[in-house]
Amino acid sequence: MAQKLFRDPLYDYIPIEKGSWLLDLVNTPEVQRLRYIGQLGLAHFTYPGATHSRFSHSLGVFNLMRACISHLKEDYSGYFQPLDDEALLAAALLHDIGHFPLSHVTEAIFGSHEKQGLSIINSPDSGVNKVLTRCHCELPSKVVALLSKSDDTLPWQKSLISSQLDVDRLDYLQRDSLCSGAEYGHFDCFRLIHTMELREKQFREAQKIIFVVWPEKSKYAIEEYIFSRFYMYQSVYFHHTTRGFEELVRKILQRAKDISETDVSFATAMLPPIKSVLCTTEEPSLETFQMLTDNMLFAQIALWQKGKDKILSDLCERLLLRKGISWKETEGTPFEMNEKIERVREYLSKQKLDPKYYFYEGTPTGTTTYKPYSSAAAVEEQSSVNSIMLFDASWPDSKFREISEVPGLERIKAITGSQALKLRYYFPKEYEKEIKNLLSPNSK
Amino acid sequence: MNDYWLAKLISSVDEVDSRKRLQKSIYLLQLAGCPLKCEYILHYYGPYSFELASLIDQLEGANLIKETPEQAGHSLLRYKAEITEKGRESLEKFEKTPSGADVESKIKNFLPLFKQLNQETLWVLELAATIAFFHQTDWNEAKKQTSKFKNVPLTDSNFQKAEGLAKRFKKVA
Repeated sequence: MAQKLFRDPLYDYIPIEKGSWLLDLVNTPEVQRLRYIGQLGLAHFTYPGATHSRFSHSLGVFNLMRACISHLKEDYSGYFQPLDDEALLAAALLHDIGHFPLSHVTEAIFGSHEKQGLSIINSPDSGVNKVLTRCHCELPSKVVALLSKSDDTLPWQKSLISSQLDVDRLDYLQRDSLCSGAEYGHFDCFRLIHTMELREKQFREAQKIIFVVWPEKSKYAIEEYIFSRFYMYQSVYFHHTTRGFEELVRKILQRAKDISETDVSFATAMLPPIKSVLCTTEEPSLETFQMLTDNMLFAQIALWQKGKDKILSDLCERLLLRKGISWKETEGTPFEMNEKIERVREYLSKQKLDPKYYFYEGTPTGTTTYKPYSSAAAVEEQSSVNSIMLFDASWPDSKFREISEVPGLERIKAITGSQALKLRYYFPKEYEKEIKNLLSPNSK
Repeated sequence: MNDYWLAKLISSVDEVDSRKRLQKSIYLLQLAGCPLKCEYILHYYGPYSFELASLIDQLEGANLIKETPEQAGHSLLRYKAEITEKGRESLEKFEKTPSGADVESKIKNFLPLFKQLNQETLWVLELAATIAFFHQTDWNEAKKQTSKFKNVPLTDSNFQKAEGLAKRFKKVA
């Protein structure tokens, strides 16, 4: 059968059979829309090359999932149920279709990409639902089960797509590294996929759960992956410049939302797709969602820059010209900084700048999507979801070990345990000196 | 103010014997209207929040709480959590400020509830949190789902106690 070949910077070629339901799925409007959603939000403000799309990432995840399935079926075909292959491949391709413009940047304002994605797959009117249903009537619900966080079925299959070592992370770490030029995302991806095993683990007294595990011989490949993830987090995902401008986007949207609540004409003049997600709490229609892309959001921001509201115009100008923001990093927790924060707010108010829009925190929190691997959380809850497990028949007791507990790999704990929290505050550059003083540890 | 509320809850007891207890207790407290809000998913042991796990890491990283690992069976660790001296000082300092006092007032009523949960058997707590997670409108259905999920017969003597606990916390809400 003839194949459609997608040229890919990571895997060279990704072939998909012509005339297959998978190629039909790639060609649905919902998947094609991902060409207009950047993979890394505003990371290109720091790394100019990081302009790759969710589309190329989704194809990459699909490609790795196909390799995983092929490898696992060599020795563990008995664990596969009918439709598992199709569901896993579709889930890999569709896992990001619910992303709003600029991906995670706008999630707190526009809504959860997971919920939106599941809604699209469930909708009988969507292109993806039609293709999946045509393949098999139960396929949409099986894909939804794989991508839903609240669903407890299919644990090992789910961990292939979403866990501490899954095909999503394997692709994005390498792809983001390659495209950004930040040379940290190097690890032996081939080995990680081709040494993966499925093992039954006794859970409590009566329950047996199948886990995705790796043999002892793959420990250094996993170690390399964990370090790579840590460096990528530090240098790309949590880069101070990127995070500052991403938070500025949220402030812009917040300002626009606030104005629209009292000024009907402002709301009316908004681009309809943006208005639909900013001024209502209802889920956007499929048609509207299709138009919600990075380009649409930037077009709106360019229009606001020329608008009448001085605050909104100023914020948009700072974003579009990538200027006028400074930052300071401190240690501690937000409540410990409370007094100093109050003082900065007072100071900005005196300068006639509303601190609601001109002073903000950009700290990794529980909702941060990109996080380094945490071994402590993994050990206690012992699951395939939040730990990377190795298996060796010669090990005493359970024969399973969390990666940082494997002899010789104790050094992993240096980067996977609790890390001192850094708080970052952003403010207008023109008041940099005064605000840095107010936030400094010696300030009273 | 999730960071403050979590540190305050931990400071109200001598120690919390495991992260699992903390996870399940906070879940039940949330149902009762506690201002500390974290997103939960269903996990092998019941409701689990990555957000809360990250918050615990943050507090430990800032040296406001101390976690001590203890062996709890084959290759299974438990992390005992307690407030540090620095943590206590930071809480007191914050509560003396006007906004701090306001934030403190929102958690005060939940401290006795947290103490009660801290004394509960871990297994009952786990069952109660799971029943509450499954509960939509019918408690019997929630128990059935929990029984299936945890592979524990409905006749297990702890079920009744766990159901009572789950109902009490959902009722308060």
